Amino acid sequence: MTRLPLEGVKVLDFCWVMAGPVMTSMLGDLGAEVIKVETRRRMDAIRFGRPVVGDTSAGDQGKAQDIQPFQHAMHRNKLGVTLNVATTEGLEIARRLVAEVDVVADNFSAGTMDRLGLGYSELRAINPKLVMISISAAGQSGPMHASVSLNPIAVALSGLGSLLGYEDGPPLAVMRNFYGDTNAGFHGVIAVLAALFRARRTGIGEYIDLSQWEASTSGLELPFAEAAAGNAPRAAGNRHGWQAPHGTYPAAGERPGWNWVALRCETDDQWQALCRVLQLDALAADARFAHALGRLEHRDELDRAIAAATQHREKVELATALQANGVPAAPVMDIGDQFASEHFRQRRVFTEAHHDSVGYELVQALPWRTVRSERGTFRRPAPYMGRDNRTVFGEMLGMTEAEIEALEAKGVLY
Amino acid sequence: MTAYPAFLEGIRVIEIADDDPAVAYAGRILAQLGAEVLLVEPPEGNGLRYQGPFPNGIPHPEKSAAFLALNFSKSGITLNLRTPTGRQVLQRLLAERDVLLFGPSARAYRGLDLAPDSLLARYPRLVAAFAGPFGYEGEWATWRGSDLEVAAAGGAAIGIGHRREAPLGLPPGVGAGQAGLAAVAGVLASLYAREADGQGDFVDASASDVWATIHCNYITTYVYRGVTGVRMGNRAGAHYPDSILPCKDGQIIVDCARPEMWERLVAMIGHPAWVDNPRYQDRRYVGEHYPEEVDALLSEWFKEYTREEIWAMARAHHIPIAPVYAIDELAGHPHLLYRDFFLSFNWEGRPLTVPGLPYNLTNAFEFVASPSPRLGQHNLDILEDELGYSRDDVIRMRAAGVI
Repeated sequence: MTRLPLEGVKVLDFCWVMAGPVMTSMLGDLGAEVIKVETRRRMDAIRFGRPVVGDTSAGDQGKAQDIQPFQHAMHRNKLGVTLNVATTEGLEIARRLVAEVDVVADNFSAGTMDRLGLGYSELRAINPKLVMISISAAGQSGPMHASVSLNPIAVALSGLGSLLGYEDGPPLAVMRNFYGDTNAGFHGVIAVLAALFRARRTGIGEYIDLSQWEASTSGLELPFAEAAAGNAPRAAGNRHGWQAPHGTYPAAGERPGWNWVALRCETDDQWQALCRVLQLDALAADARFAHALGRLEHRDELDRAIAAATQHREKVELATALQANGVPAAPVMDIGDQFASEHFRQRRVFTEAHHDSVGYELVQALPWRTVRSERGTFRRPAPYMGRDNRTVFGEMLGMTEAEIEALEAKGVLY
Repeated sequence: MTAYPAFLEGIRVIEIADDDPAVAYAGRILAQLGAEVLLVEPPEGNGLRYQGPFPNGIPHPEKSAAFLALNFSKSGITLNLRTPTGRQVLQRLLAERDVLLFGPSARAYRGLDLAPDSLLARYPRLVAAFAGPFGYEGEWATWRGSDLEVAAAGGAAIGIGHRREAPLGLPPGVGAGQAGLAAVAGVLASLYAREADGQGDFVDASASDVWATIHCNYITTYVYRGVTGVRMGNRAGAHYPDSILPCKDGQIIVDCARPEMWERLVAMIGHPAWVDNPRYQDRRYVGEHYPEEVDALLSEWFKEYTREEIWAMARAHHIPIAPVYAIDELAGHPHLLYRDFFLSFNWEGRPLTVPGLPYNLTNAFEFVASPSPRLGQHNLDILEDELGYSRDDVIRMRAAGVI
């Protein structure tokens, strides 16, 4: 029986797009009841964009916002309500909800919750045990607090961008993934869980003012250590200070230039093992490469010789053979490779989710698993706009059907 | 000013030191959240002590900046877990702890049973967490991996670099770090659950798993369109602009993910005539076919201003533009100093600046960072004061290589 650690915890979720919703989706996976607050006045951008499936004739003004699959992963397990907090009545309803929940979360621009009348000083008076978290570009205050945050912006500001690139050029500064958002959301989950732990034991709440910039800088301890020694860290491609070979090498495949394998040697024994697996007898016997210093000195020649051998080998097969012989290696995988991988299948990183509009699809699961909780659960699909108005406003706040209908018509539950 | 209790006040952690920085990072974050963390190293010291940098480049196990950055605010003992006595001492310590952290290196200690079923049976309240490149279980669980392999298998490397050149790995610690975060999150969730039912858990955190989830929307795109995100040099996405551009004194990133951001950018640069050229109206098309053309046009404006001038204007206009900073530019940054983001240590007479927790707290607890432990620094405190061994016992252990 899967244990849900956050069963009974309620989250009022004002988050939108990526960083905040990643955080609240993890809380939902762990069993929290996450109430996603939306308004038709300004819909969550992740409800739009390509690929659109389902009733495409409706375009972006029709039903597309309810079925666009990007949100299926991001909003799974969440209850969806429409609530316009820019109205007096809407704001009052929001405050009533705050009294009923354990966590309030947002990732608006700095100061937005204060301007809406939902700042921490207001909310702690309603609910002293409340854990509130705001994720913003650079924090709620400070000289640069008015920054607009996106994933690649956070990566560029953090110094991480300056470390991405080849040895002989300016930094490329970007990655094709959502690290700047997911990493901030991940730190947010940690902060919320820690604060909830204290609140449960002591009744003391918290306001967590999380900066996406700072979250991206966290994890860069080793480059900061180099900086302290006066070795200004810069992008160096796949070069390593003392390991050679160290990098990615072309592998066999239908699409030229698409398949690669990563490998490296920490020790001279691993070097000999690498040569055996790649059948590079001449290289193994070459005294210039027998020890690390020599391999470092002749890196370019080494890389060319290795690439000439790896390009005939399939990447998973080669990585497996190298690892079996004690050599660190891994295939350079794309999403398709991961979907097809027995390792990732066993790890259950991708889970089948069901949504009425499309049936079953694969979505990413909780990033870790435990014996008692596995990877959490998938309990309900992502909501269409206002799907759970009656559940939340009716059951939680005791509103009648007539009251809810009237508020929807008035543009309050909108 | 009131000092509130720490989030994890009273929580006691044992960390079996690993060469994988993920384990050290996880232990350190728990310490920063207020837990008491005890680092257990082999008598010769953890591998991170031998990883530089060192002052003047001379290796010394008490002078590694990497070890300090990842192990401050922990206590430390030595235990030889290859010996029965060493393992017995660990068992006694575990009986009085809430959390155990370990990684791939612990697998080398034959006779040390850290299997989930075994731990949960012997220590029902213990929350144990494994952090490593490929996880505790699975086909590749015994594979060796550092940031390079994590980036490769995790799906990060395919997205870094030029399209036709070698994919790039992640900088040191960045790949592994995600396993550290997963371990911390898993531990915290399990501790919270334990408040209700008194039961511990075993967390299995894999860095490559986490990176596989970081694809996010690209997973959806793959499911529906069969295309997978691949590196595009210094371009972040599929819209335009999402570029790194030179300016007067360095590089800036410009990312207009939504139409209204482009409108504001156009207004900010004074709506030059080229903006209305039919060739540049479909920005997705521009991004796919000739982004460098519009990069050059934008650059004409950007190169007149410095990074900070551009960023100030972008903030005023609410546009996602920011400097590309180098690591060594951050320690003195006025905004980060205002936020009190960094911790500073005296590293052999030089300042070592380390990123702190990425959030400010209103009901904050007092946290005074202490330096990383010297090798075996708390051996007597733990062995004698906590576990009740006599001085003779300790001397024998020392002679037998147990500590």
